[in-house]
Amino acid sequence: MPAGVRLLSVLLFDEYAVIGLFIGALITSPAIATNLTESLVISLISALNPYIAIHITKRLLKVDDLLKKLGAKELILMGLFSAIFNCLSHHLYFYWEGMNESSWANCATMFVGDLLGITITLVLFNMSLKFIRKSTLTTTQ
Amino acid sequence: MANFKQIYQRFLNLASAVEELSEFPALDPVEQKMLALLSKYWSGKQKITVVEAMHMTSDISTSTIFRYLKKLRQKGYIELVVDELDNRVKYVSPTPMTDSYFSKMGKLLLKATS
Repeated sequence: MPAGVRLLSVLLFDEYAVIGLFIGALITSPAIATNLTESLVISLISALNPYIAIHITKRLLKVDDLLKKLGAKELILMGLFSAIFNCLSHHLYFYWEGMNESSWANCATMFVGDLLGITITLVLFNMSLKFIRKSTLTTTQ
Repeated sequence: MANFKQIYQRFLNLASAVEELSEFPALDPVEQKMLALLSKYWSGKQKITVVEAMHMTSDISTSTIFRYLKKLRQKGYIELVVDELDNRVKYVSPTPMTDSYFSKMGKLLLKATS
């Protein structure tokens, strides 16, 4: 699942998003047929990561449950923290299991990818909002 | 069971946060009016204090103006500059983003009339 989608889903749907993200990650997991345990753990990590990261940042930045105090700055910090948290927890799991993916280079690649994914998703979300507003304005005129 | 009211409220707040990431954060009609009123002072190279700004129109209450000044500051359209001689006096000043916003508005107006 793209990091930006995970971030927005958790921000909107909270714990319900974790269930959906877990099922989504499990279905799309490439190792599901060969190693079910590994697929389950990685899916659980990627589903729980944004939830934990967002809840920590929400508490630190004093953002309420309805996101009333969420601004651009808070959103950027949430994305950044979410990306850091995601790559570090995956790195920890890979290291723990002695997998080849546990190098710091892979961790950095995951961080950059997540950050880029979050940026693209937010830009697309912004563009969709503008498009919806524009089309609503055209239909009401 | 999911609370759809909460999800919708979160969506509205998230949408407004995402819109703040734009080149010019979205302004509601009151914020637009406030900027227009402030621009009268700024265009005349006149300095306006926060207290004066709170009384610049009788159409909007002083507390509402103050609340909107805070919102405009949060969105980066204004900044408060402390007076050099008296720390208690703060001036409402435009930011470089406000100048580019007005320039863009001017260009759009020209485009619309041509």
